[in-house]
Amino acid sequence: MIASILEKTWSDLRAFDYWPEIGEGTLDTLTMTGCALLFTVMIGLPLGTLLFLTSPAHRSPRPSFRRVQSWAYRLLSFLVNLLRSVPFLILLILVIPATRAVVGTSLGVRGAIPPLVIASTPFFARLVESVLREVESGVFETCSAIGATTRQTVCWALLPEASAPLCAAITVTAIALIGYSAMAGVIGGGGLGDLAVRYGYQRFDTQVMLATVAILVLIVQIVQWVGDRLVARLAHR
Amino acid sequence: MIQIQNASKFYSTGAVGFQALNDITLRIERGEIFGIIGRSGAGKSTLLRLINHLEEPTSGRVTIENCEVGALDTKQLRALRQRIGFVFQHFNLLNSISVMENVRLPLRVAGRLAPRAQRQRVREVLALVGIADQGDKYPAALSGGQRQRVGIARALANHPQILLCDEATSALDPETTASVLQLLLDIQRGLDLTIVLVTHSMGVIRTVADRVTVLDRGCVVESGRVADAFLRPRHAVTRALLAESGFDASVPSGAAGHPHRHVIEMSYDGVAAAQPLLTRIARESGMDFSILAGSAGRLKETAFGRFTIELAAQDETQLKHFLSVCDTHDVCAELQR
Repeated sequence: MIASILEKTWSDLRAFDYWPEIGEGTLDTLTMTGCALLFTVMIGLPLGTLLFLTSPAHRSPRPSFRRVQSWAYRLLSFLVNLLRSVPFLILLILVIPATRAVVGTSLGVRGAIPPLVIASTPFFARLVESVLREVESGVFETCSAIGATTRQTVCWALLPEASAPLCAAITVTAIALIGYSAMAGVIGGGGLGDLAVRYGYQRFDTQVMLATVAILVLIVQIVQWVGDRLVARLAHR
Repeated sequence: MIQIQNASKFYSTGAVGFQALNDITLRIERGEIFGIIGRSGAGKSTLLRLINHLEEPTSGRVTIENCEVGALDTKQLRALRQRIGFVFQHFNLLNSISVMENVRLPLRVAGRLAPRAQRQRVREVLALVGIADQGDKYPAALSGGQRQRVGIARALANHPQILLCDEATSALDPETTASVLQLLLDIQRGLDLTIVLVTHSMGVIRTVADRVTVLDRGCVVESGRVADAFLRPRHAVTRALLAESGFDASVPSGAAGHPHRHVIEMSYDGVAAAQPLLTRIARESGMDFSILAGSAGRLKETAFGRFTIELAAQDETQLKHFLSVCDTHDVCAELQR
């Protein structure tokens, strides 16, 4: 019984001839996610830090500065919330003109990266903000006491102290991006999600759909595993 | 050296706000260890933080070597803080970087030394505080006492002239406290530092401080030499703090009510304490007395003695004679009843 099932599975696998498409799709997904993650961190980390520094949770040492600070926070917070409240599918279409202006096309892997970055940056920035809030207040007290500037405090104390949870936040964002990138297939973004929709959904080819899902599961597991390892290495507790 | 004039601090949080410090005036001399003691909430940490303006006074001013701290701009204030070491109760070390990097942080901030020279300086101060071999470890791998040594090393890295210690030993066990206090004494002598030290323990004051100020609900209630505060406390809070540290100043009930018996409290310190005073006073006055309670010992380097005695005197003249003999030997004698 079991032997016959295995035999059938094996022969099905040998007969399955979509491997080139799946290989290409996997590569596209990895490229999209990787590039988008890079830009998300590059923009989201400073943005999240700025959100934290201007937030009510972090009191400025200069009282005269506090008014400016609170207005800056309201503005940033509003923009972040605005981007986060637009569903990704709608965002994909809304930002097409911007995508064309930046990367020259709104199609394919290149065309998918800008909307992915726009969607995940506010998400990541909020994660950064909440991670930084958890940093002990003693860190700021120490930095004030040794006469550090805000820049020195952020770069030499705040971010290193938060490195482990920041790494966890990057992992969460990476996995969210893998999910988002599947949706990018809708506007011709390519990747595994695109493959699953075109073959699996539109052509009722269950095998292709299952194969893409299996690979996505595998990628997510690997990303989470690597992320956890890095977090453990960074936490000197 | 450090002067605090009419400083007050008011926190306008809540409905009524909170007066943390009320019209404080203090003068801390160069090269002394100055203690600030009080119960929790007395405002002692706030007072300490006024010195480097980690807290700004609501009114009043702070002057360090003729430089008014409140008049400095942000940049000058940062430069001033770089020259004042600060030791925290809970160490405040960064867990994500090594001991070496923790101690190097103030040197990087000051930016006056090249990285190689910074590391050299870190090795110097680590050796000074007795943990030369711990530089590559992370703070989590150290014991409480070692962590506070890192905290002290970090405070000393930039060659400060002033060291501010906020309950530096309160999170440590008694044995570690003693060794950290000894370290503070050693570095104070070796580097000619001025140390301002906040604590709630009279034991700490007794071991290291030269002068002390007692705070109660934001006000200075007693201020002066440590020996005076210990031997002749004037305020109830001082007495209570002494009693809590096992340094009871209350007079035991002797042979009360007898007309010719007088209970006298005698105290002395410094040069006087080196003499065989009690026998000498007995011989010179020609009067006998019995000791009801007392102790002799050391406050930092100052020897002291304090005894409650019961004296049999026939009349007022004899009593006055006894007190004047005490006076010629620099013994402070106070008639209790």
